[in-house]
Formats: sequence, C-alpha cells, structure tokens
Amino acid sequence: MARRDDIADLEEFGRFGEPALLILVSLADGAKHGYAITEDIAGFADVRFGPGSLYGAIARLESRGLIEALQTEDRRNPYQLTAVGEKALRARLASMQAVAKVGQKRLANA
Amino acid sequence: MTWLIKLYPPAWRRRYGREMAELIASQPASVGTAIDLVAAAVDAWLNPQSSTAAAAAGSKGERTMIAERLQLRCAGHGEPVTAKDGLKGAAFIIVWTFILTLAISWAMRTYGKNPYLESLLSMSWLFPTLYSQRYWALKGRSASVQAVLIGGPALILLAIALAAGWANT
Repeated sequence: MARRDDIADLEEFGRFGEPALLILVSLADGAKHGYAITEDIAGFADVRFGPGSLYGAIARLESRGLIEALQTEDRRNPYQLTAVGEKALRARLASMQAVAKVGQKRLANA
Repeated sequence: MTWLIKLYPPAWRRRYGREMAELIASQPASVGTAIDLVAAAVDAWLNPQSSTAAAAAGSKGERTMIAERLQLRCAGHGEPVTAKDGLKGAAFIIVWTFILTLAISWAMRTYGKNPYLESLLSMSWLFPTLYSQRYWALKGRSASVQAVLIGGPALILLAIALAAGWANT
C-alpha cells in the first residue's frame, strides 16, 4: 500500500515526473549539486534537462521531503536523498522492473 | 540568459536563483533552454512549492525590519503604540463624542434649531477622532507638531461645517 502511495507521489509531478525520477536515481550514489546531477543524468540516461525542468523537479522533490539540501560554505548546494526519497525510489524501480519483466515475457512469447 | 531568472517568483529566486544561474552559465545558450526556463517560470508562479516558503518568510522578515527602521527615521523616532494607547484613544473618542453631541443638542434645544449647529452635530465625532491621533499616529511627537497636525485639519473641518450650515440657511 505504501509502495502505491510513493508511486503516486512521483506521478503527481506531471511533466517533472521524469526529471524527478532521474534525479532520485542520480542521488542514489551520493549527494550532488545541480550541475553534477545534470552531467550524471546525461551520462547514464542520455538525457540533458534544462535548468528550468531540473529545478522544477528539485523543488517538488524537496517540498515533499524526498531530497534535502546540504548546507555548505561553497556557493553550490548539494542535494541528497532522504529516507523517504530512498523508499520512494525503491518502490518506483520495483514497479518499473515488474512492468519490464511482463513486457519482456510477452514479447518473448509473441 | 541568466536574466530569465527574473521571470521567477521572488521566493523561488531566493531559494534556487543562484544555483540556477550557475547551471545556466555552464551550458551553451539555446532557444530550447530559454523555452525551458520560461515554461518552468510559469509553472513556478502557478504551482508554488513549500521548499521556497522559508526563503519567502526570510524575505518578508527582512522587508519588515527595513520598513520598521525606515518608519523610525521618518517618524522622528516615534514611540511604538501599545494596547493601552489604543484603549486611551478609543475611550477619548467615545467620551468626547458623547459630550459634544450632548452639548450641541442642548444648545439646539435652548437656542432653537439652526443649520450651523446641525452641521456641527453631524461632525461631532470627527473632532475627537482627530484629536485622538495624539495617542496613535502622533504619539511621541512634540506639542507643536501635534498642534499643527491636529489643529490644522480641525480648523478645516470647522470651516466645512460652517460652510455647510451657511449653505443651508
């Protein structure tokens, strides 16, 4: 039940849903600032989001407590996953994996 | 292209503006980036996020502090108005409106109705209200300032009352 709620959270992001998911994946291996997130996503997903889309998604993730900003003396503010964010990401990836398995199985039988 | 950040709500700019500017500066300018920024700015106005609320509160607090400091300068270091001052002013208005109304009514009864007294009667609440400003807006001001800022408008009101009475004769 909790898994469905977490998935619904990301689905509520509308056009920011995809950037939000990729940001969560990017932060899964450690805190990053905006530029590093953009480069990381470009590397593993071959997608480069504009600054507006990136920070639109970051604002939504931060507002819902899925990520949090770390305070640093540097001008850049790194973000990190929260426990809630990690849970939401795990649920989302499990759901995607289940859908992918079904799709691959059906294609194999076609 | 960082000027497009000005399209975003102030609270948003305070929270994310610096980071966004850095990211924009690191990328080559393009029409796609401009469209992305404008579309996201529209979204930021339509769907404000709670993550910018703290920045907005900070901004409001700062503005309030600046406004208070400016007010102190403009008011010649005027004293803050307390609840007791408010009660004093309100009591003054009520009591003196009652006294003036009774006095003018007595005069009308004694000397007969006339347009001047009727006009003054209709404005009987305005004079105490004006004078009560010495407890609020003019608190802490010198006697001469209070005399000018209360006496001046009071004379204008008196002239209007008399003119209205004269017009009705």
